[in-house]
Amino acid sequence: MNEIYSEWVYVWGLSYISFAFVWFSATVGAHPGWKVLIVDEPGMKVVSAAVGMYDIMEQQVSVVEALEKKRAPFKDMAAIYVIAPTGDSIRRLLNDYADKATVLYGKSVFLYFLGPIPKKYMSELKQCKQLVKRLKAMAEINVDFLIREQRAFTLDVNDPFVSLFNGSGMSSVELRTAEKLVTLCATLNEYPYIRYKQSSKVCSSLASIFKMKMDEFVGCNRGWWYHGSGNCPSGTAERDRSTLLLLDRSSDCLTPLLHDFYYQAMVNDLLKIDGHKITYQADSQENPSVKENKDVLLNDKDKLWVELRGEHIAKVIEVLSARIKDVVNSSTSNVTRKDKGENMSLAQLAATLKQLPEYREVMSKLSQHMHIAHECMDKFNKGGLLDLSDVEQTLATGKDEENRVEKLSETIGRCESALIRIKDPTDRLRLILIAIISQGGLTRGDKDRLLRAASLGRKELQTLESLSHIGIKTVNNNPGVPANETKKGFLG
Amino acid sequence: MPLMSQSSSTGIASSARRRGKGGVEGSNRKRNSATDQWGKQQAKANEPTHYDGARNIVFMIGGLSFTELRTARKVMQNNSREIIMGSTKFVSPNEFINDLKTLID
Repeated sequence: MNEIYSEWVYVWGLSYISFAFVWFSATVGAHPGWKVLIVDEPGMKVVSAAVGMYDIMEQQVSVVEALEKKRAPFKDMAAIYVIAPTGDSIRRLLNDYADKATVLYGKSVFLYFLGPIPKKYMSELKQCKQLVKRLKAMAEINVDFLIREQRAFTLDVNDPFVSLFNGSGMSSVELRTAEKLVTLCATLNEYPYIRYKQSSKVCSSLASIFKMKMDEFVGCNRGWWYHGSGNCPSGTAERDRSTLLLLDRSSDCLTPLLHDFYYQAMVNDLLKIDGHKITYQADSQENPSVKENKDVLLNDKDKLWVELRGEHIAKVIEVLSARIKDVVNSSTSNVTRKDKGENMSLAQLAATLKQLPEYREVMSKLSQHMHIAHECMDKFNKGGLLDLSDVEQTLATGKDEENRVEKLSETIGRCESALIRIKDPTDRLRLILIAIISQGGLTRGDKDRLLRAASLGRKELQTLESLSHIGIKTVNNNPGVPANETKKGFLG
Repeated sequence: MPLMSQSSSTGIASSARRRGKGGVEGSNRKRNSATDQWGKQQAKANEPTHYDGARNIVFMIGGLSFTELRTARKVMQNNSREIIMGSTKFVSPNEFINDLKTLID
């Protein structure tokens, strides 16, 4: 099972297509008839991150059900389970096949586990007669991560921020993170060298757990190959062994706070976005004076988003305007040609008509992005972000717009006036955090000055004091240390 | 082998400075509208590139920002080495501030 999908994944990176084709078509797709897909919560996240509903239906899956809920019977359909190998999910699965009379589905069952199945559950599964009778395929698909973009993934680990920096060592969060990383490497056929910052306790600990788990995986899966081993199956080009670089957020808390005016960063910073989905108000098609809510999914399937997400907002608007102009000109030129009395030949007419649906789709995409880009610029202007980002950049680099070194006292002064202007308390906290982190702490005097200008609430003040947990000092008698100089080790 | 440099924040600082952000005008390029196919303009920018050599998998503990994602893409283009970025989650600035708030004991 692993061999089939690894080949696809190699070619396309982490794209959607690989997973859709691989799981389903390899075994399940070959099985005739409609099927039911049953997923538990982690399984649901993995599947929806990798494939869309349409892809699922293409593989003859007519219904998707949640494992946790009470489900309706589909006695003539085969069942596919995509679940995490946890006690709860396996117990629910076994429950489905506990009694011959209560079995909900048909004669075939396909079981896919997101990660390695613990031995104790294996024996339970083997003993379930009704399940074993129907089992057509069972595999550990080793996909316990969520794909966000073609080369970006996340791990579905619940809010580890505090637990990671409490310095408690082999916590369950670290264990789960390491296991999920192993599934990622398994899918990519990588047995990486591990690199991390030695002074970071979190990284060292995760690195050793990961190594242990990865070695365990390689030991248990003799048939699995990795890049750089010399065992590549024919047809795939040989690559060198990869490297896994483990980074610790606490070594750079400045970057995630700075305002960034490139399209993707700006959209995620300034607009209300829910995962990939963004809602905006547009004129409804039937009645232009009425506004309606439109949902847009900004993901890899939107080619225009993929092209523009790494561009500066100014360029984005420029590109969009130019393209819209082209589209409008190109369509009207066909019309005006006719008006001038020239007869449009049948071929020309056919060509214009053929382009109409394409025109509508292209125009709609362009105008969606134009809306979003304009909304960004709107927030930019209303929030006075041009001046604010200027202060931020000077704090981060020590230099002003003309590349001259600016005195810290002057920058603090500008910071103070910015704080008085900003309305939102979170934004004020943000600016103070940037000031403190970029300078490695401020003098008592400067810090008090800024706090007075910001008039923060109690929670915000407590946040500032808690920064010491991740090694950030708020008071420093010698501020102005450039942000990119390595700080001394954290947490000892 | 190129590693993710710690000085990414300075790099961003200089590139984020852009003059004339407001008031963008349409371009003055002349185009032969009659023959231009709108679809083709987009397609050529999105051709999948094939990367040789060893992959770099970068995992950030504690959350990854979109700025860093963008920087990784740029490094990928400049050095033609594949970089796969990942984290426990992707954070926007406000989400990161909420994370910092959880440090309060």
